[in-house]
Amino acid sequence: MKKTLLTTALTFVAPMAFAEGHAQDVLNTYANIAEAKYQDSLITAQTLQAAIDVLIADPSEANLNAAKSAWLAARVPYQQTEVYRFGNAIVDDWEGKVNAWPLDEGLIDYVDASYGGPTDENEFAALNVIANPTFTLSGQDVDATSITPDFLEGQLHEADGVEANVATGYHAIEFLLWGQDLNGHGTGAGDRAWTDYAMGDDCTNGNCDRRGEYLKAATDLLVADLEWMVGQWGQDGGARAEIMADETAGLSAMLTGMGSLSYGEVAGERMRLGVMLNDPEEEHSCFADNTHNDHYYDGLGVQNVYLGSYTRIGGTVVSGASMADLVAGVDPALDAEMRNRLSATMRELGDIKHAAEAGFAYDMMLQAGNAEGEDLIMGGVNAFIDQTRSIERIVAAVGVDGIAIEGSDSLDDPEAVFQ
Amino acid sequence: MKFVFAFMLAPTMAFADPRIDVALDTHILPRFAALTDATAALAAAESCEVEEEWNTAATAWIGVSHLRFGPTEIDNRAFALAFWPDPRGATPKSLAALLTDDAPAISDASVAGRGLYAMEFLLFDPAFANIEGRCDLIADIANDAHLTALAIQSDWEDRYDAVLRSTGNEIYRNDTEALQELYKALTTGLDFTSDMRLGRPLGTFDRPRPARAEMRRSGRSLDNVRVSLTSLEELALILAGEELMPDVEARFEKAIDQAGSVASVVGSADLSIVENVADRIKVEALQQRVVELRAFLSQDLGPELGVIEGFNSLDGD
Repeated sequence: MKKTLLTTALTFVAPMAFAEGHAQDVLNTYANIAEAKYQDSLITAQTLQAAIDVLIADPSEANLNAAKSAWLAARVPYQQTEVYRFGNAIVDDWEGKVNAWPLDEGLIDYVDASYGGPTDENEFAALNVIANPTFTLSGQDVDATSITPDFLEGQLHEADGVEANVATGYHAIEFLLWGQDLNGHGTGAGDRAWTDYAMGDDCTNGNCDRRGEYLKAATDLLVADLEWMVGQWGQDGGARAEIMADETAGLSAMLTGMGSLSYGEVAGERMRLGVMLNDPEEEHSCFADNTHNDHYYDGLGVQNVYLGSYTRIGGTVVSGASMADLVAGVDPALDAEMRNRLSATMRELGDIKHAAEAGFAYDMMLQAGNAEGEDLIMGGVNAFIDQTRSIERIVAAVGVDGIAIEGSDSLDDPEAVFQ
Repeated sequence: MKFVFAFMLAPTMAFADPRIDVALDTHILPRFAALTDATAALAAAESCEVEEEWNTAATAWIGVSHLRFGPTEIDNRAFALAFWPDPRGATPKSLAALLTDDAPAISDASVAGRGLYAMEFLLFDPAFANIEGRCDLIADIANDAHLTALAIQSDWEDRYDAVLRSTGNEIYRNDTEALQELYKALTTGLDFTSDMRLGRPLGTFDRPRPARAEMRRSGRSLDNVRVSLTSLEELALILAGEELMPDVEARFEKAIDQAGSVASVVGSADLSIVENVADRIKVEALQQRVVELRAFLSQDLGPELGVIEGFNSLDGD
């Protein structure tokens, strides 16, 4: 994950029109929604953890399917938190452990021959730590006889400084549950057999005990990481304190997260690139074929942060003073434009989701010459780009003419934003 | 009466900010025209020994590579012309697939197998030197690249010139939004040069990554930095008011001089010198000059133009 916010550095000047009070309320809602989203992510990850414990203790097809269902459910609240990235250094520093993507999955486990071996970019693309309890990494002998959360986090993750060496987080777990999707642009997701976790002679593809150990360690780590982030947004948490410390910086963080996620990250890196490369691996959840939901809930997260209202997994609503209120107070037409564009994005992302759920999978949409698929995905890309323009207008509109835009910490000192 | 009428109308009539006109007439339009000409020469070549034509086209591309809005973004034209960086190695894979295809439809292919960066592999990478079908594929990709460059240029001249010049439309509500687009092109261009063109090969002190340098196979890596800085300076000087101009010019010259100092090191063309501690310092200094320049523009030029920083495509991971 990129550790600098070089290009994201929105500077922002709070308008005098809605001084103190209101901005504080907006930021308070923003922090409350973050706390609720991370709590929901934690709850669903704990459910996943329980399902994985059952799978390892009693491997069966039904128990593998139950774990997969729990993983899919866990993605719903988590993707809605991604709008807290980019603007909040505490989230950004941490996010790489939890949702890093894309990954060279051959680092973790066996892969198909078509996957290839080490590449120019990554010597460890085919390391297969599950099959290799000891190996050499950058000249150092590594002992992986015991696969623990500490080992995954401290040694294997981003090994050799290569970001594609993703050893932890949702997508590593996804790979261990689904396996590679070898269907190319055809129907179907990864099809790992439950016997990859079977004991004794039933074990397929070898090292089932180590595979289970890896899956358990990665899931425990995910739960621990989410617990930590829930604390960051609690009443005394560091991320909340950072947001509440300075109204200008806080509002800027909100808009930075909304704009950077919409444009550079989801529209660019995750959606447009896949269409341009026609590569079925270029989808965010390529093992589970859940990419339509990844994009959908990312979009929903941006919308509910702007509107200041989040419906929790149990149905409770967390809401309060919103950025929408604040913008409406300065420029009602701009607020209407923003709302319309957020809705338009959700319609486009809904179209992708509905088509995928009816059988037109995201990797099928990516196939070269598939005009309908390209139109569906580019509809989402263009809607994200449109809404980013409105976010830029909001940044400009709520600023005060004549007040110099300040230089940004992240430009002058890239390290400063993470202190 | 007539006079009063004209006077009353004046504030609502749209006169383009002169900087927008100058940017279009002396920077954007001529540079895209040059790209079309260079790719035309590349496509017209009658052999596959087109290293020189390719080099001219690559120079022309780098000179417009920061102008990533409007016509370059329709139908992913810029990506089809220049897909880089390529961290997953999609370019050689796409080329291998195209080489096994008897009649490859380049315009429908993955962007990784199209454009100037794919051609660089075919022209300069030993792995492709004697491969069957190489010559035909070079010609096909050259043709496709020319059509793409032409499409960008035509779109600028027939449509987007007016969009940017006569604001008050759906895309640019006013001149400030148009100036912001130009400012963003400038700053994103500098970010790209420091983070990608220099940052990728620099890697970390302990782990330099010379294989990640842009166009290292043809030895253009350092020259691309110089060409981009020269073009970005041209745009910056158009946007800078009289007061800022000397300072902007001095800072660009400082960076370009540093690029010259790197160029004096033997073997610096592909930036593989990032592996030698003594030489690496010079490349780091060059990157630092670009970062300082970027920060200066953010502090002084942005406010002068009355624009915000905005979002760009590098904002993701």
